[in-house]
Amino acid sequence: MTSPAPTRLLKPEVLQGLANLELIARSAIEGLLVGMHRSVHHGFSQEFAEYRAYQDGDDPRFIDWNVYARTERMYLKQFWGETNTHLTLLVDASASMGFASGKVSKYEYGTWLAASLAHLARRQQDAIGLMLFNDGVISFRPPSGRQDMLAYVLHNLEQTTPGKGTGFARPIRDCCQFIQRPGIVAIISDFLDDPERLLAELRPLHARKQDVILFQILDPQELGFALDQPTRFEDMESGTAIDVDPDFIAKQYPAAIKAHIERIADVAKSTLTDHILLTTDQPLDYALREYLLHRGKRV
Amino acid sequence: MTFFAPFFLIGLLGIALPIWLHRLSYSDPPTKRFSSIMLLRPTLQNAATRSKLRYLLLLAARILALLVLVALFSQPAWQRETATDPGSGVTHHIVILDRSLSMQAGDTWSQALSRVQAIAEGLPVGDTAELMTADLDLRSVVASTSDATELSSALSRVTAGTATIDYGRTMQSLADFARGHETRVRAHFISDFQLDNFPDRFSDLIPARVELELHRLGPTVPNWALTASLEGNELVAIVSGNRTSEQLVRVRLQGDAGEVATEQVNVPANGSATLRFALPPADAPIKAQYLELDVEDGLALDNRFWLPAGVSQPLRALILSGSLALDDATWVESALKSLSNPQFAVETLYGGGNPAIVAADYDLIVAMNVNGLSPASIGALRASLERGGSVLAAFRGATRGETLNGLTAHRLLADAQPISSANLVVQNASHPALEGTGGGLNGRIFSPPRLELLDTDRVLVASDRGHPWLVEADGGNGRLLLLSQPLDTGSTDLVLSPDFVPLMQSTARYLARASDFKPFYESGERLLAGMADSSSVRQITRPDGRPILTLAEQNRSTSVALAEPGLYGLQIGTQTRQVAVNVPARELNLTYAEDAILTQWASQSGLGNGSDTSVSANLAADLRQWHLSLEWLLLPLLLLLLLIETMLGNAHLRVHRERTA
Repeated sequence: MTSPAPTRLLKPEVLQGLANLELIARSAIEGLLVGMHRSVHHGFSQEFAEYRAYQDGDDPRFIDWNVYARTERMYLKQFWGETNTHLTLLVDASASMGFASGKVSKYEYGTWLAASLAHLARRQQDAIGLMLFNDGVISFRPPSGRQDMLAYVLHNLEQTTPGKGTGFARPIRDCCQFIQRPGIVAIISDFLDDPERLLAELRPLHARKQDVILFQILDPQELGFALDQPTRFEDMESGTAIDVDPDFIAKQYPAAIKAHIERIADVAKSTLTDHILLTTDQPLDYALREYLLHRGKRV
Repeated sequence: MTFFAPFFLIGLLGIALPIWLHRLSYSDPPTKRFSSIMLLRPTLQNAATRSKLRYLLLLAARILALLVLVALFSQPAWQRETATDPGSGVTHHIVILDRSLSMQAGDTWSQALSRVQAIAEGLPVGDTAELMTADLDLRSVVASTSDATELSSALSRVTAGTATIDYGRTMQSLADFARGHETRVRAHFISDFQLDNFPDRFSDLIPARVELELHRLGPTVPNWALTASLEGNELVAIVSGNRTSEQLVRVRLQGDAGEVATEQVNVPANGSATLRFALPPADAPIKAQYLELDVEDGLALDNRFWLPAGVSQPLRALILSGSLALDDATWVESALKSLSNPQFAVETLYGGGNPAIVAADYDLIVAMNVNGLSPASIGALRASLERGGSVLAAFRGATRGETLNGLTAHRLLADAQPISSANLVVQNASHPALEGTGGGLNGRIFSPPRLELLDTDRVLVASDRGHPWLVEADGGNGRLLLLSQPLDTGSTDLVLSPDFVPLMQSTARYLARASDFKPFYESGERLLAGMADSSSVRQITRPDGRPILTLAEQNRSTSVALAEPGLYGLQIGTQTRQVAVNVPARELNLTYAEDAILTQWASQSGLGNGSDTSVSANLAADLRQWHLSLEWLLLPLLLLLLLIETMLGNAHLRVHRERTA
């Protein structure tokens, strides 16, 4: 588990008070960018940005030989980035995502993250796609650079309520059918599923040269909790119940969830996928920062 | 007691408590909706099952502990049907012969002897036997022997007695006796099984580790019985019978000079009737008297009721009070009237006393104002003492100066430094006058004066400040006790204490020379006599006039069995007193236990009702019983269960406590 980083962003409970998802996403992104002192994201557009001294490992194709001729020093010529990639958001809307021990459910947090990513991608002129799924596909629109795509994403996120079980096979299969270009696929889910099956289901995305990021969102209580009496636990997806003894939940459950997270991380590693663990009490900047780093590598 | 005995079953209701606690009051655990139980299932399903199992184990431990506790208290027996193999091992036979009074009815006793004879003849080779008789005690007649003729020959030495029997006591004595035998013990109990002799608790009839065979004797014989009691100057006689029809019976009061009175009454079928006789005056020259029922029936001994001479009249006591306004006579009179042995007829005289009355022959005179009596009355008191009478004399002294009582040379001095109150302390607890106090008195005396003692005085009670309060003085031929203060609430609060009546009773009994011996005894009872002092029994004579023992020579306590009904003479000091010994009331009702009771008794105790059989060999298949007298097993088991319960309970509650902390 990642400890919450110091943040300049609004806390989730504050964000929850905002009126709509767009505002939430914008607030999150603005805060992030201000904090980054207007970082420049370099791409392959023709708009010159700046020179930078050559360092070992830099691509020699970008050395400005004219400058070298005048100064006998090697500089790289950098440009402002353009729309370079596709971002497909796969948001889990199964019943388990509706769990909330505090004010913010995992689904809410996931929609904020998805909206923020979409907003960020939009600012960077990336194409955005969205798929909402549970055990099937609820809605899907492949990545597109259209101006109204952000509104579509926000609208669908807001209109969907979590329900039913979780299944990655069909959503990923459908996604693969419509994704033609290499891009980034961000899967936002709690991944409370069999890691081995997840491994098998992620492989088609990898085969289609998709850079996959697994945003695993968990409620703080799911990482460990205490009971003061025997309690009957009812599964939000299947409805089955099980009686749980406080003594054993205190001793064995934390180890079990930790092992599960590690197996998800192993699955991610084995498919060259990034795995980002988030809890609903963490500010969004950590997730967004991770995404930007990831995108930077990708670009 | 069996597992179906009511007490055991009632005890079992106790297990409802843990069941209620565990099952009925156990509510379903709170439900929590959780994102996924995927991670709970593999790790915690077993845990939850284990927890549930532990909870059930806790319930089981609690129920078992309660069961063991109930078993420990009720000591049930369990029985199983099994064929007894007469040839397996050596059996020790104990033949118990009931020799209580009712065995004399009709030919019951001869039947009993025949039954013993039959048992002796049927004794299996190799087995041992012994003969015991039972009434108030269980006594061995023939010790363990394998010779049947020894048993038979001993029968000539055994006779039916006049005492009563308690089957419960007999069986418990038998159980104690059998405990010393390592071999199998089979008891043959031969009795008429009279209904009145059964104990209150049926479980007392079950002797542990003994196979019991019951031999019922004799048919019911027609019988009349007579008993009586004293009510004032009347003798109330009760005639009862087991006849099936009403009958007119005649009862006469017989003295040694002949018939005193005769009454007759109709006695209803299986019922009783009451007759009343006026007692002859105490000074009547009668040496022996009895009531007699004029009928012929199966048991003659219960047709006569003996009366001790002089029992008709209570002792006479005179109380001399200083004034009607004082309450000194009230307390003494109440205490004396509450005595039943002996009974006192109390008269009270107020003022300075009437010499003519005081001079009368009283067994006890209590003078609450001895220093206020007229010289003539004092003279009458002296004369009473000379005649061997008894006086309890109290000063009513002045608060200053000294007071003389006139009767003795004692002076009562006002304390130089008067104190408001002092506690009473018994000085001579072994004195018979203080027997009822138990060695202590809970009372105070107010503004106590100081009684000047003479050399011959014995202080019985004094204050904790050293004021003599009750003193035995020299009374010449009589007995004289002096009190430094009268017995009224102004002088002492002892009269309000529960200790007052016992003190007065023992003091009055001592002064009136009344013994502790009851006027009536039941045959078979024992009388404790002896101790060579002036108030103890020095000699006892049987109803036929023969002395039992010269007790004066023994110089120790002696217990004398009063075996025969009749009048016994007790020589106490220089006096002779009579006590009457009558047959036990419990033996008078010749009603016998029903077969169902005997069957139940026999089936729970081992072999069975042998009334239709002659010897045990006829019982081929019978019931054997094992008592769960297994305290040595049940007690550790209970402790173990309590330990398990504690451990399980702690484990169950530990998590909750940790969470709460």
